[in-house]
Amino acid sequence: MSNISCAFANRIIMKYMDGRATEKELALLRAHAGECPSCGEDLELYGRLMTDFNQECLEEAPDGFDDAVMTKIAALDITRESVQARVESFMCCASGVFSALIGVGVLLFLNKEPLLNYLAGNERFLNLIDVWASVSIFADRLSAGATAFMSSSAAAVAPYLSNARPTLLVAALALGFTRYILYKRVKPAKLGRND
Amino acid sequence: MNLCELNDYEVIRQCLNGDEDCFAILVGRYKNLVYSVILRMVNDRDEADDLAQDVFIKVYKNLDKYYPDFKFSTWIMRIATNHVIDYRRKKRMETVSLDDMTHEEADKSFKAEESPESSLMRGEEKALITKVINGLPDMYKIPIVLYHHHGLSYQEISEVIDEPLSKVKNRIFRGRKMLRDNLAGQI
Repeated sequence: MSNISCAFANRIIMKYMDGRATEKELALLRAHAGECPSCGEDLELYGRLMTDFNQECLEEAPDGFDDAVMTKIAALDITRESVQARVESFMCCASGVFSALIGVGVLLFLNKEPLLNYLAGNERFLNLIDVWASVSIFADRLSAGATAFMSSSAAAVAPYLSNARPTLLVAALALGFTRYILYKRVKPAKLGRND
Repeated sequence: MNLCELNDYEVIRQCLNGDEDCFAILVGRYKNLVYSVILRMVNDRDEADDLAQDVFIKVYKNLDKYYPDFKFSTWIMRIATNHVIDYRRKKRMETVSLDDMTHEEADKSFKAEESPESSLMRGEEKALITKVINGLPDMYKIPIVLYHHHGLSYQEISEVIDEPLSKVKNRIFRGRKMLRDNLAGQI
């Protein structure tokens, strides 16, 4: 009499189906299946399935399969967008949005008087001015401070700048030339060629 | 460098860099696998041929979406199984007639060294098992076919069908039980 339960026998069958059952487990299973008709039937049926599963099942694709696929592919019109192209299109979109915002800002600045006149006659806007008043005073102070700092800095740097013009020009040219050399070197790697 | 020595990802990069003929290398490597899996699912050689070609064209179109985190074989299997499921859904086919397949398989299994009787029995046995496998719903059949016929691991199947590992194990377990019950019912 085998000393394993039907549940344990079932677990061994599943391990057998996974190809993980040991010889010892299979021996126990066979002994149990010899005494238990239900597990015996299970083992017989799963064994038949495994015999089928273990047969070579890789079918050969029909003759001319490769040619048929490649002909269809040759007829396709696919343009692939590289990562670099995606970055470039993103940058174009970003600069477009930025330009639009600048444009709107310039329009608002040029038409500030009619706009302010309109807002001055708008009650809702006038109610908001009280709320913004403290913010506005702070912004004015900040703006005045920044302007004073910029003016004093520009005045301090101006004498040196006028004498250093040729040096700056040479430095800018050197920087441009270096970038050009680097660009020419990096280009093949960016394309991702691996041979 | 010999192109055939390149690994799958290197071949894909060559294709993406404009060398489209390199794709023929991938077709050569995976055509039998894709065709076999699809044939197991649709049981019609002409249909499997067309669908396998569609799969390679789909793969080609989406080549830039492949990431080497997955094995290429896993990725192509995922595309193939999804494509067949979509195709069958479109055709509203829940079950497939197996007559053609079973006769064909029975014919194929005749071998010179076997007696006609044993060959016939083997053919009938194979036809019967093919029939019960094809009677399974796709959700059980696909993991069973990938695991038992094509030797994919549980993890690989999980990646192919995009389901958790536990679900894959459960479906294979239940699929086997269903196969056993259906086989017992056929005898």
